[in-house]
Amino acid sequence: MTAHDHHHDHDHSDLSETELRVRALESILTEKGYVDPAALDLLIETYETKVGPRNGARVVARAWGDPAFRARLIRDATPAIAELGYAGRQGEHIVALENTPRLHNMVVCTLCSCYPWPVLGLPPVWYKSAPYRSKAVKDPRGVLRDFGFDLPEGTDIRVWDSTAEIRYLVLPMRPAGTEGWSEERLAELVTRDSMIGTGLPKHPHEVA
Amino acid sequence: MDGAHDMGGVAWSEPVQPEPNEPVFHAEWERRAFALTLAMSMPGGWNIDMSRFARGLSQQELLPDMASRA
Repeated sequence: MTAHDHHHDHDHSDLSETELRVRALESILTEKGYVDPAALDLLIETYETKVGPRNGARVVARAWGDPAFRARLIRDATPAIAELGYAGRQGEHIVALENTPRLHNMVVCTLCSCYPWPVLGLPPVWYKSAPYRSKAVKDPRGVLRDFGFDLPEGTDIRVWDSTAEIRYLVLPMRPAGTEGWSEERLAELVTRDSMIGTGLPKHPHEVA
Repeated sequence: MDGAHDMGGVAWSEPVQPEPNEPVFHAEWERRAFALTLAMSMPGGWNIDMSRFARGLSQQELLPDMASRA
């Protein structure tokens, strides 16, 4: 059966080939009892509202404010992250990479799109794109310029290529001027890109 | 496998183009296709290597009937 043989939608002219194919696939898998559309809705809602970079931001904020947690995170990130309730698919083996004034870490998946889902959610399109995957290892400083910042010459850059098993979370440096901030307030500074290594945390004056 | 894999170090002149305020999904079909892919790992019938192989195929290799009709 092809998508065009499937007649449950009456106005095919508005739907692309891809849309038709996905609809047909969902219909047939539902009819055969393999999937429940309500379960699909729940999966979508989970990844649109619950699993995303706010999780990673909380991990980073805790590490900034709690030296013992930071030590556990650096030693073995997966159980440390699980302390905050974040675990599961595509995050079974997470390694935390600590940025310092001398070293900046950046994460790529040259083979495809491996990414630490429990802490960052689903990868953005640019992370999966050919320019990022090819240039990240060949010209990482050039990639950072594509993102709008120049890494100081005195800072080394280390690029980590993700694998099917090991996923990386960059622990950016805590911005100056945030002494005494609560964990919630610190988390506001943590951007998704700062946890991939293609960006930096926000400046304290950028958050209220 | 050639093609979309092992791109590390390949010369690429185009810049990386981040999308400001990028949504998790860009279209409704992306939502459904994502959820279907996750959900269908439960009934089984294939393993992760088979899934990866399929993802690495080009559109023509994956869907020869559709490519010939396009």
